Order: sequence, then structure tokens, then C-alpha cells
Amino acid sequence: MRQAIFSLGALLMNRLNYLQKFAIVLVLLLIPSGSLLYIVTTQITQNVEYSQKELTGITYNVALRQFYEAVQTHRDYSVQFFLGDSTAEQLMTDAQQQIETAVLSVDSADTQYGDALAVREQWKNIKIDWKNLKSRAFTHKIEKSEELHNKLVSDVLALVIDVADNSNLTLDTDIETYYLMNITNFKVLQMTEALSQSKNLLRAALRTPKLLPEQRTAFTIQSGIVQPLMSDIADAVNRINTYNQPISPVVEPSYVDLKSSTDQYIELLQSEILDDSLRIARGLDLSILERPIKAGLDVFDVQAPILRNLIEVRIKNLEQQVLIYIAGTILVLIFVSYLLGGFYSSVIDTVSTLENVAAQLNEGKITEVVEVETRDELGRVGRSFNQVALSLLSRNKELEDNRIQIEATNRQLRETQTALVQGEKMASLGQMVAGLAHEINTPLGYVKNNIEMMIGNQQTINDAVEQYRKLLDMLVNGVEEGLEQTVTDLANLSTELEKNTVLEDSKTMLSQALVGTERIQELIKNLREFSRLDEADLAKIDLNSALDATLVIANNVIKNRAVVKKDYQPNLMAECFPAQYNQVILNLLTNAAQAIEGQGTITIRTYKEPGNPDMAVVKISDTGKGIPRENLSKIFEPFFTTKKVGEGTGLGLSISYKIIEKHGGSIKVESEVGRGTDFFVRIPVVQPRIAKKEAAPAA
Amino acid sequence: MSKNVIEEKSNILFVDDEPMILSSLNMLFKNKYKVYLAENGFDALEIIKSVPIKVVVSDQRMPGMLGHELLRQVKEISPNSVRMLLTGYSDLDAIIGSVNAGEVFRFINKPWQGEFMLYVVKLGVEIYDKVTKLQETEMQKQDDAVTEEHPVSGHRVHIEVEEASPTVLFVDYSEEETGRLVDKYGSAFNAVAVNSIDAAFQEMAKKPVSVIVSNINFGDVDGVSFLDTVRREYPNTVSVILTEVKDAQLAIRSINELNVFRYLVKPMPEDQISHTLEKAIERSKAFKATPHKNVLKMAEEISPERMVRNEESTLRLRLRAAQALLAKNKK
Repeated sequence: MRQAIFSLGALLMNRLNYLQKFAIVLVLLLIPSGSLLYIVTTQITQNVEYSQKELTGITYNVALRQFYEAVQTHRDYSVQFFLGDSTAEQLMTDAQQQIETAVLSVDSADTQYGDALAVREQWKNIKIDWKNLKSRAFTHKIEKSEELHNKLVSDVLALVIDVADNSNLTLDTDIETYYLMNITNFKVLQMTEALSQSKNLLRAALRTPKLLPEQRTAFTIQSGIVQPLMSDIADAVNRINTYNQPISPVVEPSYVDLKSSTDQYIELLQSEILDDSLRIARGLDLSILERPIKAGLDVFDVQAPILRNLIEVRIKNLEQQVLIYIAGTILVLIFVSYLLGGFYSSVIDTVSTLENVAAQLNEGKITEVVEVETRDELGRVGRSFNQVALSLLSRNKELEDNRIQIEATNRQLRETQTALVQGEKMASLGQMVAGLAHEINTPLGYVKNNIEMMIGNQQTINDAVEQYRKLLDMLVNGVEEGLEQTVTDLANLSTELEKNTVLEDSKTMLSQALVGTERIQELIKNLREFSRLDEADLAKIDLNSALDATLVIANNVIKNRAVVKKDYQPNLMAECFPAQYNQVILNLLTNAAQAIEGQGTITIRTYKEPGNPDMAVVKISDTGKGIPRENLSKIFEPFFTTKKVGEGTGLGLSISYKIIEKHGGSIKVESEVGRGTDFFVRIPVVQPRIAKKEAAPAA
Repeated sequence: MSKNVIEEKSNILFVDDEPMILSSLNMLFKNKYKVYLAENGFDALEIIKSVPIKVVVSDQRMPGMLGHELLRQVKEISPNSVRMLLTGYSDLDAIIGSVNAGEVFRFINKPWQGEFMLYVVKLGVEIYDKVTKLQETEMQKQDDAVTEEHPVSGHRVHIEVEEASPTVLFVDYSEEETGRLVDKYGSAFNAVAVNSIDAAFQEMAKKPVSVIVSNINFGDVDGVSFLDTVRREYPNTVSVILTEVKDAQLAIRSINELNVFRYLVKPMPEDQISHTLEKAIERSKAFKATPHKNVLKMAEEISPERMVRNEESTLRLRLRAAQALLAKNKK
């Protein structure tokens, strides 16, 4: 399931090395987080710009408020002027001066923000209206002046609202700023305008004894405007107290005066002014309206900076937010990169550790595994690897132990083999010595016996000779006494000698002793021929005489079992190591004799191989019991023997085989159970050069 | 040697495939004996069959028939003929063959000492004469007794009451081995196993032992000397050597000094051992019934001059000590 799902990813990852893998992961991580950061900061920046635009709105409106107040003041004085107050002219001029100052300050805001707030045109028109109004300020009729003033004020108020709209102040839904904005930009200025117009109504009313119906209507309209506005402001202040408590201690007092003075005016209006029997004389003057107007403008003056401050704080916060986002993202990215780096480094370390261990293991240098520190899946691999390495190490040790053991066994085997070969040599030496001892002891037996007897006979002969000398002396000297006795003794002695055939025997004894010593001499010669002790090197020998010499050595074994028949090709010479070659022949002759049960025949043939005159062959045939077919292939194997334990080492034929092999020849066997066995020993007449060197340390 | 003694010369036979040997021996003996010569076993057997031969001296290795085979046949044809082997080189097989099959009296190596040869042959002749004479008187006695009951068949004599079970004493060095042998043959006869020479002496002092089966590898004591001591004290006890020692010299000594009945080399099939033991028991009975069958004893009676070696006398002392101990215990 997992593999099916991730097969494509695995396919990709399998092609990359770890650096590439991590690079890919990092890049893929950077792209979305960068984008996200971009989006978030852009969003915040927009918010900041949005709020900054609000600030421009506030600045603009604060400037407009001065202008607005100054225009109202101017209207106030112009009304007085037209009503005939001579002092008003100077006040109008002062007010105009104020207005010009306010115009300058609005101009400055307009230059900065007019375009952005899209109010430049409106302001321009207001300035034109003002210029027109100002140029004929003293010459207009009162109605015309009032109309123009009112239009100017209402245009300014409209501009204030447009500025608020265009500068997002109206749109800003932030509950903290909304009510402040609502009070300053909409309610309070409109309320003061309504109060200001009421003030002009009141002024006019005070000049008449009785309130005219149209005046009454105007008052009602104006108070109808003021009352809901005041109620809205109170409501807004309440809201501020609820939602934005930190600023309520500042907002609340600024409004208290407005509220109480407005309430006072409304109350007075309802109880006094709007009474049908209105008598304005009762100490009622314009101040009752001047107080709320001033308080309203104070509310603006107090609250506008608070609003500005709030927005500025918000902007500051947003800017900080951006910084925090950027810094946070960078920190997270750095941290992630660090972790990935650590991951990569851990992977690389583990892998390279394993690689090192593997390499050392491979070279057979290491004897202990390295601790893998990671605990993750790679660590698991490492631990598995360690297990493998451990088992390899122990296997290695086992193998090493085995090797040592095998070497020891081999050495032992070689030693045993050497000992066995030595044993076989000693055995065949013993056999040879036995044969020789027998062969030599036989002539020695009669030679010694004859000589011993000769010593006895010699005494008898000496005695006889003594008697003859005695007789001769007597005869020469003519002694007659005892002569007869001497002759008789001599005759007896002679008879005795004759009877015991002493003289005859002596001759036989001596000649036979001589024959015996000659036999021994011959044997020694054959022994030398056989052993070739003085010819350890390669020599060209007559195979026939080598065979004869060996036959003498083997005679002891052969003679009571077999008759030997020879069929020699004359002068069959061949190059060989004579002692080794004779050892082979002796081995084969002994085997042949031992194969014979009862009496048999051993036939020895020598010839050059037909068609291959470079090979000299000795064929040794016996009429023994023969070798069973199943044993024929084994007879040249070491330790194969059919003799009883202790009677044969089973090495004779295998050694013979080796010797002949080293001569560049071969031993072949043909056998049939009941008929007998033929051995063919082939050796080259001339030894190849290499063989001459190699064959030397044989057996 | 003197002319005036008209005396029939004793017939002796030499067999050797080497004519020179025969010729030489002939010259050595022809003045005192009637010497017969044969170059092979078959000729020798012909002579034996036609003439009573007192002493046969044969070579071991001869074409056609080995010396010990010839002597085995001689023993059958003419049991009283004293048989000797004269050989140029003695391998153990030949020696063991000659004792086990041919029951030879002497084993002589070539080259021989003329004097010794004369002595040994003379001894053989005398043994033959004595045995034959004893046998004849025996026959005479039996002929007299024939009318009574037993026909001359099977065992010739029943002088003693036959023991219910003859005793066979196994002397070996390993207890485990003796134990095993007793387990094997304990039922056929009364088998006793001991593991030391002194224990063997004590056992023999207690009751007559028909056959002693012994190793010859005791370490401190030469086994042949041990058996020799036994033989001298108990001439009717038949000795069998059962050993893993393959020593030709010891084997020759066991023939010449002990006239050992059999020389068996381990490992030896069990049935062969038990067969040998049966034969040995039979021989022991024969020794008791007719002492002249004990050829060595005869030889000693004829020619008592034999060297007594130190070791032998020590052994004799140990034997006496064992006997004394037993006598004391009996009291």
C-alpha cells in the first residue's frame, strides 16, 4: 500500500543523492513559505497604507475644521454687521484673516493629500466660493450673505465627509476607531453647524418682541437636527466606554460639557423659546448656544488626536507585525535548514561510518564493529549491518580457526605421510635385509661349518704328518726299535683317514667354502647393483642386469613360491634413477610372489614398446590369485591393501606409481581372478631434461 | 667312534634346498650318524615314511614346501621324531608357524656353531631314544591291561581321576583384559585371572593349573623367564603365550627355553583362542599321563646342565615365597 502510493516519489528519490534530496526538500519548502510571507506582508502593508490614508484624512479634516470654524465665525460677524453692529466690521476682517490662515493650512494638506483623497476640485471650488464671498462681504445683502455662508459651510461639511469617505475613515470597521471617527467626522461638526444656525436664529429672534411662526419652525427644525445628533454622540461615547476603555477617561470628560450644555439649550428651547408666549427678555442670550458650539469643537479637538493616535499605534503594530513575520519566517527557515543540515550530516556520517567499516571489513582489517549513534531507521540499518558485520567477523574467525586447523591437519597429514613413506621404506628395507640375510647366511652357514670341520681335520692330518716324519727319521737313522709299532700306528691312522674320508672331505670342504665365499661376493655385487648407492643420479643401466640383481634380493621371498622365467630382450638400456627403479621392481616381484598361493610361476619379460622404441617395458606376470575387477582401479591409491593389518602399509604400489610417473613412464596392470596379474612398467629410454631435474628428490 | 662297537647308527635327516649346506652337514655328522639328506619337503617326507628318523633338521624357506609345514607333517607321521628348524633369517611369521604348527624342539639360526649343532642333534637323538623306550614300556603295560576293560583308543590312559574342570590361569597386565577373557572362557573350564606374577604364583600354589596363558610384556620381569620358572616348578603346566609383542628374539627364546606350546599374537580370533586352550588342556593331560611327552623335560633329564640366570632365581624366590605364604595360611 505504502509502496504503491509512494512509488513515483521513491523512484525520484532513489535517483538522487542525499544532498540533492535535501536541496529539493528545502527549495520546495522555501517557495510556499516565501510566497506565504509575501502574501502576508503585502496584506499587512496594504493595511498600513490603508491606515496611513486614514491619517491623511484626519490631517485634512483637522485643517478643514479650522477653516470651518473660521467661516462660521465670519458668518456670525457678518450677520451682526448686517444687523448694524459697527464693531462687527473689524471682527469680520479678523475672521477673514483667520480664514485665510486656515485656507493656507488646508492648502498645505491639499497639496499633500488632495490628489490621493480626490478632493482637490472640491476644495478649489470652496476657495473660489470663499473668494467671491469675501470680495463682496460687506456689500451683499444680508440674505445673500447668509446664503453664501451657509453654502460654504455645508460644502465644507460635505468635503469633510468626502475626505472621510475617500481616506477610508468611513470604511474602517475597526470598532476601536469607528465611534471616534463617527463623532469627529460626522456628528459633532454637523451638530455645531445646526447649533450655529440656531444661534443666528436666536439672535434674530431676540430682536423681535414675539417669536414669529416661521422663526419657531426654524428653531424646531434646528433642534430636530441637534437632538438625534447629540443622542448619536452619547451613544457613540457609551460604545467607546464599552469597547475601548483605555481611551474612555480622555473621551468621556471632553464630551460631558457638550452633553450638559446641549441638554440645557434643548431644555430651554422647549420650555422658553418654543413657548407661544415667548418672552426672550428673560435674560436669555446667545451664550446658551455658544457654550455647546465651543464644547462640540472641543470634542473634535480632543478626539481627533486620539483617533490619529490610535491609527498611528495600529500602523506601528502592523509594521511590527511585518517585521515579526519576516523575522519569524527567516528564523523558521534557518532552523529547518539547520535541522535538515543535521539530518544530512547524520545520514552522511552514518553512511560514511558504515562505508568505512564495510571497507575495512572488506580488507579484513577490522576486528570490532563501530557503534552507530543514530536511533532512526538508518541506525536500524546500521545495527543490522553491525549484526551482519559481527556475524561476518565471527564467521571470519571461524574460517580463520578452520584454516589454522586445516593447516595443522595438513601439516600433521604431511608428517604422517612422510612417516608412512619412511615406514614403507623401512619395511621394504627390512624385507630386503631379511632376504639378504637369508641369502648370505646360507652360504655363510656351510662356509663356517666347513672351516670349523677343516680345523678338526687339519689336526688329524697334522698327526699323520707327524707320524710319517717320525717314521722317516727312524728309517733315515736306522732306528729299529719301535719301528714296527710306528708302522702299525701309521697304517691304522691311514685307514682311519681313509675310512672317514678326511682328505677327500677336506678337499670338498675347502672347495665348497670357496664356492660359498664366491656366492657371498656375488650377493654383495648384486646388492650394490640393486641399491646403486654410489649412483644416486640418473644413470643409463641395463634393465636386464638390474632385474637379475633385484631377483637375487627377492629370491628369499620368491623361491618357495614361484619359479622365475625370464624372457629378456638383450642389451635393453634405459636411463633412470637405478635405486628407485629397482625399488619398484622389487616391490612388484614381492607382490607377484605374495599373490601366488602354493606354487606358481613369475615370468619376466623385457622389451621395447612395439611402435615406440623410445620406451622400455618390463612386464612382470604371475600366476597368482589375480586382482578382482573392483580393486583394479584402487591398487595405486595410497593405503589400499588387501593384506592383513600390520602386514602391509598399502603404500608400496602408490610409491612405485609415483616413482615411475616421475620417470615420465607409467605402470599398467592387467589382471584376471584365478589367472594371475601382469604389471607393465614403461619408462623412456632417455629421460627428458626436465624429468632429470624433477625426479631427483623422489620418494 | 671305535671300530669294535657294533652299533646301529641313528638316522638323522637334513632338509635344505641348498646342496652345499647338506654336503657340509653331512660331513659334520656322517661319522656318527646315518645321515639322510633331502633338498625339499616332499623328498624328506618320503624318507620319513620309509625310515625311522630320530632327528629332523629342516630349513624354513624352500621351494614347494615351507619348513614348518614339513615339520607339521613329520609330527603326524612320526610323532617321536625330534624336529628342529635351521634358518637363515627368522621372520616372526616363520617362527610362530614353526612353534604353532610344527611344535619344533629347537630353532637354530644360520650360520650355526658346529659344536652346538652336534650337541643339539645328540640331545635330540637321546630324547627320541628315551621317549621311544618309555613309550614301549607304556605300551607293554597297556597291552597287559588290555584284557581288563579299555580298548586302546581315545585317551590311552586313565590313571588319575579326571578333574571336573581343568584350571586355566590367565596372567595379564590389564585387569580389564583378564576380566574379559574370564567372561569369555569361564564356562568351558575353570578360568582364573590374575594381574601380577606374584598373584599367579599364589594361584598355582593353591591348586594344579593345567594351562597358563600369559603375556610376555610385564615391564619389570621378562615374561619368558617367568614362564620358564613356572615350567620348572610345574612341568605339567602347559604354557601359552598370548601377546601383542612381535619380537622374533623373544619368540625364539620361548621355543628354545620354554618349549612354549603356542605363541599367539593379538588380536587373535576368540574361537582360535578357545581351540588352542582345548588343545593345551589336552596336552597338559597327556603330560600328566605320559611324562615322556614333555620333550623339554626329557631334554633336561638327559642334559641337566643349564645356566640359571639371576632373574630366574629371583623369580624362583618369589615363587617359593608364594608357596610358603599359602602353606602358612592353610595351617
